[in-house]
Amino acid sequence: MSPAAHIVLRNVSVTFPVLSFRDRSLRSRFVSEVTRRRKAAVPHIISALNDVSLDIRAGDRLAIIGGNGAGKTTLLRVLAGIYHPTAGSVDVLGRCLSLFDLSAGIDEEATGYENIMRRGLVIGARRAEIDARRAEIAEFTELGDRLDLPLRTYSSGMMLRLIFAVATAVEGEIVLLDEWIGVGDQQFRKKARQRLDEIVARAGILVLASHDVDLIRNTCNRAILLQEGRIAAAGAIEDVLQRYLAGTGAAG
Amino acid sequence: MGSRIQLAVNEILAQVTRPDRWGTLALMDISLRYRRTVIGPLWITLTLAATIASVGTVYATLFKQNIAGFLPLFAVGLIVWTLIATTLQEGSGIFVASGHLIKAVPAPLIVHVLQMIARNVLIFAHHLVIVVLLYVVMPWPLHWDMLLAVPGFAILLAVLLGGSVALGMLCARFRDIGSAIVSGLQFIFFLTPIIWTEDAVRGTAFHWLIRANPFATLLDLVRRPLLSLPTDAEQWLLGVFYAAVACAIGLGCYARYRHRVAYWL
Repeated sequence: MSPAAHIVLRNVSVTFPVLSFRDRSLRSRFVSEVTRRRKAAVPHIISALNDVSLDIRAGDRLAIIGGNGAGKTTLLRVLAGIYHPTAGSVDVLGRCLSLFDLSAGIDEEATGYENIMRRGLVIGARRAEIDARRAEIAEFTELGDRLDLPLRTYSSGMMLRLIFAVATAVEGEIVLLDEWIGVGDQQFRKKARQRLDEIVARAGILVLASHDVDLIRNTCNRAILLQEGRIAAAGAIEDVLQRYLAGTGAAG
Repeated sequence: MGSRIQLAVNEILAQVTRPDRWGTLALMDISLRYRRTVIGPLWITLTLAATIASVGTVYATLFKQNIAGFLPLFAVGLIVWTLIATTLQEGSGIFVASGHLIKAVPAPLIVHVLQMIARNVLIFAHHLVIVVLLYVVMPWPLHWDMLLAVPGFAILLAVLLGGSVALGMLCARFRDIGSAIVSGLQFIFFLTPIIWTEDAVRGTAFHWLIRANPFATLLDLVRRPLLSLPTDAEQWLLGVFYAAVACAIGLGCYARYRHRVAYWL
């Protein structure tokens, strides 16, 4: 869609303070300050990403592969601009469409139509923009008059339809996906798949974090393997997948 | 450091001047409160009115004060205090409460604070019905001085905005501050001339509390104009000073920690 989309990560590191109850409590800080008996408990620090450098250009379909806790979601959040790295720099050119945690901003008490507005506003769309696309989104959900009812009366499948329809209604040059989204019954699943395919096809850049080997083979053209926050391998899909599968094979 | 402050100011101004998101969401929050009830947030107004009528009458009798003199001060005082207390309380929990959203969708943190303040101002607007009723019941003429309530309210909002940002960040990092704030507000409530009047303590050691208590000043900058009572220059200067201090602290926190908050949630 836009040839201008471009992501550059230079030596990005992300460290988390793991704030236990002790570190979060001002009282314990005060006590240890006053008594000076010992140094305040050193906050536990997890390094979620370590010296990650990436150059993703328009046309790239990047797969992020790695075991649980390897830093896949953290990396996606850095790309989305949710986490600001503790070291290094991130330059993202192009509008990001992050398709994870789709239910954020949804209110169970509000009606389907109101939730279309809520979620739209939350992800940064303008009111006029959402009003203009309301009918189209409503049609996609196939929920009809049910959209006038509060969300708590929906079945979970219906809720997913709505959430999916709203989340994918806006366009983005950069699409970030944490696992492929599959929603609803067989017929809607097909439709959702089609919509997602279209979005991905139009996007300049796709970044997909997934464990699904076949999906990665079919969708992506580049891959990186994350291990404990570091890029352990990068390059062509097959090479990286081989490294990954060999690693898990050895571990398991 | 200077450019960091500049960036933070730009980010805040960009959101403040674009009420599309936070304004609409605040309105929707309010309309949700009307859902499944007939009068919605007016229940809070009704509760306040009941408190004002009962406590007002009892206290006026106990402290032998003239009801017509005490009741309006108490009523408007309580209404403004409710705005201050709920905003600071919700403000201190704002980033924790919006944690799910903050970690799912990138957005400048200030929008969550703005939405919360807008929502509380809308609820405050409901309570103004009580002030209107007071004017109907009491034989007061409308006075141009009432318009001074507008700058007074602006000063109060600046303090609440700066305070909410700072407290919200502090509470996201240190979780026990939230509870401290609830008890602290209760304490301040009694140290602020709401259920007692300035006249009652004139000449006692308590009197300096009013001058030293920022909440008393901020409250009076809205309350006195609303009741067509005179305000003095010293109060306005103090009010502007408090607003500047709160905004400076809030801005400092925002510039320094806004990128860290997501990690604390």
